[in-house]
Amino acid sequence: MEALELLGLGMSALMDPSRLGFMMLGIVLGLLVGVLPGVGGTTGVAILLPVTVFLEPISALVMLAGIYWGSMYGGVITSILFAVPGNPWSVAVMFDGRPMALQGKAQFAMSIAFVVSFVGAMVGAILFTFFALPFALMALRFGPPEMFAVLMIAFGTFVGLGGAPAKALIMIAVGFLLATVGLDVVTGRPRMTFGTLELMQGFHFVPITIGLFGLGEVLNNAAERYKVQIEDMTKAAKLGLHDIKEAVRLVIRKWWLALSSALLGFLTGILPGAGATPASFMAYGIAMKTSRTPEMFGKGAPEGVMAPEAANNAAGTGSILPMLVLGIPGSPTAAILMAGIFMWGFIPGPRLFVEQPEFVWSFIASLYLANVGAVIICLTATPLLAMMLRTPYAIMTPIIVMLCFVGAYAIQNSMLDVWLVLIFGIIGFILRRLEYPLAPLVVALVLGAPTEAALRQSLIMSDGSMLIFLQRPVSGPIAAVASCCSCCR
Amino acid sequence: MTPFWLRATLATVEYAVCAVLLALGVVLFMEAFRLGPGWGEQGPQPGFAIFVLTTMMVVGAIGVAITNYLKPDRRPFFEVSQEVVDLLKVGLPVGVVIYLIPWLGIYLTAGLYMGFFMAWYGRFRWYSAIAGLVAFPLVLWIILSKGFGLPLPMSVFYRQGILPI
Repeated sequence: MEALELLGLGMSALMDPSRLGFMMLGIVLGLLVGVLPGVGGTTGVAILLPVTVFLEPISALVMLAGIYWGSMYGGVITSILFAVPGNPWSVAVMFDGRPMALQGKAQFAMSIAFVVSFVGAMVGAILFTFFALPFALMALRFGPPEMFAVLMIAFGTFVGLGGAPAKALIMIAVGFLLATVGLDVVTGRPRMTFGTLELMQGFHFVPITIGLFGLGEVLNNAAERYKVQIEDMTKAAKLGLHDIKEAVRLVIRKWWLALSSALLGFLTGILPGAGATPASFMAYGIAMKTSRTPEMFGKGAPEGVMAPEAANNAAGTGSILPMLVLGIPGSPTAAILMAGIFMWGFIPGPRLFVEQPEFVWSFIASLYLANVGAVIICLTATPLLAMMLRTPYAIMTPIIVMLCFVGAYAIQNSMLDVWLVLIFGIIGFILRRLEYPLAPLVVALVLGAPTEAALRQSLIMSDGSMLIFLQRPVSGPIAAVASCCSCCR
Repeated sequence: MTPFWLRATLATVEYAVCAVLLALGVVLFMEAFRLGPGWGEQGPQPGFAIFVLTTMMVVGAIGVAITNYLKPDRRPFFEVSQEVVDLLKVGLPVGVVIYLIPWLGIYLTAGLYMGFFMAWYGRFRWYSAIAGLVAFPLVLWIILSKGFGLPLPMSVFYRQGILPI
């Protein structure tokens, strides 16, 4: 009950019109940074952090929270419409969101994504409000062996993800191999750089994903224009409130999937170094494994949009929890928010809850209000966003191509990443025609480096003994779940 | 006579992909052995993951090649020549755009690409193409450079102080 009273204190602090105004401004800015590939929520919060110095602390914090939440919602838009993910955690939603858009169901896909994002964020916010401390303490018990076991669950869920098994095996291996390029995480020795300085920093997964899906899709559409024209497909689709109502009905009907994905996302989100991206992949994989129609995944299954979106928004809430409760940031964005809290003269941690309850609980209240604001704005704009697909092909193609290049370049300020988009665009076009599943490559690429790092750190801890994964009280059960996920089809 | 690109079947391209993967496998095995493919005192050596993953890749490629041999997919990779023409009409300008970015920067290239593509591919009227040529980089510049301060590649004219982009 005390938590409810304190939440009420936070809500009343946020009822100040200027604070609400800053929060809404943050949401709109966040949607914009989320839509732009390569900018993303982390960069958006970092760029706007200095601006907030001039605001009073509560307004500043809720504005930054608004940007963060806005970007969580905004990332799905370009993922679904153009197969160019606005954020790393919007990659998984693209696997089914984009096929839905190609079938003329862009508005339905976006409506599902927004509604379920709201559900995920609300589940996360409720858990945050009532169980912040136990969850934060649980996160502290996670070391490299536990993290490795969690990441193995993510891989386990992706075994058998579409396509012929041999082709899926190749794609997982190639994705993992691409993740190993660069400096070895333990010894610091260059691996697969072949004497090239540019390869020392390794491959970031965003340019490769943008190439495989974004540019690959552009080339595929170009080749198939003689029989299918996407703007004609989307012109045939009706726009209006119908899809939003259908999306709400679907989320209510499949409430269990939304709730379980959100819980999974929240738990993954609070783990340091995990965050929303692995959570979204894990939720997608588990949704496919437990679906009665797994063969529909990757071809436009609404469940493939629901699961990752619920998970990543709940993970977004979860990743902030250890920062606020313990002073340990769980994600890059949480680290930047923490820098802001320091900048305003506060020290994150348990004492902050006692010394500055209005500040802390205003932030927690903003988890609720910012999400209400974001979902209203997004759902209102959905028909307008879906209409973007009706733009003439000769205008849309340069826009998508330039968004691909901007998104790739902005990650590391490197022209090599822009070339990677072209190279992987061509590879994506060929592999798509040969029916290679692209999703396992991306999953392995995203999770490959942290998985190898966790494995090797664990083995250093145990002097090379694999038993460490079974002997520890938390990693043992998680490893057993990972094995089940790999074995069950 | 049928052009060569229309004679290539999916099976032929599949063999080509397997050959590339196997050749890549040889290079990667050499790299794995250089780094140490085994198990040291404190777990795997730097080349262990590369060795295991390359083995997976090679086994997969051999599996695909065998399946392809037993059940070859004789459908053409390109069904009609129009596919190749359309692909090149979109793909070649993309290649040119990447080549131009280091010289003209992201904004000028974006404008030229939009104007050219609208006029050439979309057959828009010249004044519409010019509107696209101006509006697209302007909107990008306002949002990305002015709004978010993203350090994107600028043109040689910017470096000489002639243009702001």
